Amino acid sequence: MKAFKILSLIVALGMFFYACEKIEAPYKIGGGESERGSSGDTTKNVLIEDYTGHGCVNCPVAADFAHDLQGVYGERVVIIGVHAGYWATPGTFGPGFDTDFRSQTGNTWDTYFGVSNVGNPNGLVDRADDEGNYIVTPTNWGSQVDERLANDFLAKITIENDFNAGTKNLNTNIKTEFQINLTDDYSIIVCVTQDSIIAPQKDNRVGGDGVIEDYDHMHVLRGSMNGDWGENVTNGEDPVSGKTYEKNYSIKFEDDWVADDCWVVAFVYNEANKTLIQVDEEKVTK
Amino acid sequence: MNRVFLLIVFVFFAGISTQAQFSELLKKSEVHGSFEFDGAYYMPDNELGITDSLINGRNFAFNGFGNITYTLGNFSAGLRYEAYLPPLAGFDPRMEGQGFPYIWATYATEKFSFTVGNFYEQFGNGLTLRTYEEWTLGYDNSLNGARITYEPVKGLLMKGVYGVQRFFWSKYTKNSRGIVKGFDAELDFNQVFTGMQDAKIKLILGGSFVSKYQADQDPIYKLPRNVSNAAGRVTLGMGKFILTSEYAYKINDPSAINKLIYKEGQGLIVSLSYSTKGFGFFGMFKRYDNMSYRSDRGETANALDINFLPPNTETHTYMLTSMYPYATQPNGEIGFQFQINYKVPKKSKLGGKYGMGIAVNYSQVNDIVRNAVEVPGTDETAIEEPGTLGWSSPFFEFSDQVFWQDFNIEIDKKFSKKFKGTLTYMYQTYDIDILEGHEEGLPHVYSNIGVLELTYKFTSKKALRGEFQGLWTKQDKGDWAALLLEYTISPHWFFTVSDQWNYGNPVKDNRLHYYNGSFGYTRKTTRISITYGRQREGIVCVGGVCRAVPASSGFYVTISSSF
Repeated sequence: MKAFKILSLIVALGMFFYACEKIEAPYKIGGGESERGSSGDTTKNVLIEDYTGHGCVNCPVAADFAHDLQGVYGERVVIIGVHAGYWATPGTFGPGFDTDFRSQTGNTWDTYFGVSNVGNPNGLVDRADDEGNYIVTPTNWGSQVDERLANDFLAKITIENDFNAGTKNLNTNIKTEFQINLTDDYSIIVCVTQDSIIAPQKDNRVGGDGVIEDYDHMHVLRGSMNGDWGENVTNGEDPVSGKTYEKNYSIKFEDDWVADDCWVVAFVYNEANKTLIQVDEEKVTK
Repeated sequence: MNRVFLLIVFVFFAGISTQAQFSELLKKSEVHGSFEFDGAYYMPDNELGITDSLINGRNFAFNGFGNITYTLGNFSAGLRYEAYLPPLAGFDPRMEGQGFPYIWATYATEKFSFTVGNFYEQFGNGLTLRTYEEWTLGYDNSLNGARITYEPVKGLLMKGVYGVQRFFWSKYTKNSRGIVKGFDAELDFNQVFTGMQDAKIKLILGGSFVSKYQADQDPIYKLPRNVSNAAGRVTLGMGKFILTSEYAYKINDPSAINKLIYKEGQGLIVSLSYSTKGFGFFGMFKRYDNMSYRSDRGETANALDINFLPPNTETHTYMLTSMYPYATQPNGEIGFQFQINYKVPKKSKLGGKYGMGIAVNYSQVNDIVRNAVEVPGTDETAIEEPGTLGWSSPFFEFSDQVFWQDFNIEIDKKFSKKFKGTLTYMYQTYDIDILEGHEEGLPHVYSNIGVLELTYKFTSKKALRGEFQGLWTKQDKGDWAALLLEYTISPHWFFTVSDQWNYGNPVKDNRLHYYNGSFGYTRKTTRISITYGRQREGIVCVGGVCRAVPASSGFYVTISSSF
């Protein structure tokens, strides 16, 4: 009888502690295609910086994660593909891998945040600082984006582009309108990204030599229009609610930058901790 | 937590009303402690590529801890102070800080014990739960919560745990990481059943259930919030044979480690040992398939592991035999190990006056076979694709990909009362790409390693020990030679000089010496050692859990004590 009681106790305790959820397919419930809109959004948007490289076999999966998040949240998610570190080195991963997707700005950011040092793929979500650690593994981008989107809408960014196809010169006008009075210092970084660059990419999901010859590289960071860390938005004064702060920048496109596939991405961040309060993007050509 | 601890202490002492009672209490109390301080002063070293700008003003680094345990009858409590200011090179930078991360109190009677605060626990071999601290790795996955153990009859032990795990210095906040709960029971038949007390067959059965809860905040994937891991184990002793085995089954647990696949996890370890005078045999088989189990599904660094996957590889300690250590691959590995120990009898032809010990060990670990599975909603199949079952794998099949092979033979012999030696030969295959996480298509490292260790005792207190080592390989950094000389004056002093020379490095400029000189003084339980020299870049592993160690140069001080 005693043995029976003890056995019952074990089973009861086991049942109490044993909890589980078996998930049935389909496991994926969101994602897919989404239209990217224009700037001037009046919602809090989130930036995913996908630190990647064409030689990184796990990076296409991360790119899919980011793309899926854009599919879920539409234009509230903005992506920059930062090619930096060893896996982005040209001429290292076999024939065809000679394109240099790296940029000076991307390299500076990568060094500062230490992303490729930790390993690719990895990324930053709104450059949100978790006790000194900015790096977020791709499988956590979803929950991080979800969390960041819940933050207050603090600034509206409007981007107007004027591209001269003859001179390949892009003039951009940026208007930042704060929604409340703020006291910290805020800077704005304005950069150019490019979609649809067809070039080889390593991918461990494909057979053979693990190379996709005609991979579609999206959101590739080309460079910054106002330096690696941008410029103070308000020229030193405390941001005032309702006041519009205007900036003008220009950049000359390199020969291989296809204007019709390019976007201007602008984001405002707190200089103290580098964390974004808003991001938006606008196509270079209509 | 500090407040909880102070409250416990206050309540405890509030009941003591008189000085006499207090004095009596003090007499019955016991306090024990241990301390360790590891400091480094890093210096630029052009040959190692360490410049002032790389050091960036952080020449000093310091890891230290102090453990205090107080016991009074059935009650015990303790705390551990830790400081990483900043952490030594190669430790996770998130460790930087100081404080009391480990505070606990326990009340234990003959049948029950209750613990609140931080605690370490292990169920069986650890396949479902093992929390522990490993100072050399900077690893601590202790649980912070409550634990109860109950032993209703001698030989039947039940344990229940509930809590959250330590994550560097981060305080637990809602949804910051998962909550762990677990239950374990172990039944020793020979103790519980009187009829079996003198039986030749010894039987112990055990089982454990662990579950973790973590909120699902992912907008793309449907993630399980409660993930359980259950295991059953047996230990069977028959005369000189002991057979132990444990099998664990984990339900779908998509995570950053397995790239969000929904496959179940399985782990099996079986070991058989035989021991008699002068002869011992040990054999082990293991298979892990998708068995990473953490309280944060997004964590990829050495943190928040709930379970532990025991390795089947021998741990080597010489400078060159430990150059390529094995790192457990939780996503999948299958392997085995055999070891034979034989003592050649004294006064035999081989054994001579003192006998001779021979140990032969072989271990191998391969990848598991992985077949493509259906991608839901499509006609395609894929391996390790997020949002799929990941792969299918025949249970006992070995893939062609060898992660690790280690054949080694060790002969130890005492030549006279003053002179003894150990000769070791080792052949190793090492998948540097997988085991060090390079994924660069680097070739396997095949190495032959030889070590001769000799010790000569001048007097009963003075001895000189020498290690002469060589590692020969055509891959990675090429050939190495190493020498160590250690002079000991027991019980207080030791003086050591050593050098590891990468004389076969394919790059001529990298044929460097990694020299070290150190001395130490020990008095009772206190030990201090000072080292000057170079640390080579490498990997340090304990139990298959590893951390990378960068090259460094400078002074290193270690002080430890206990009471």
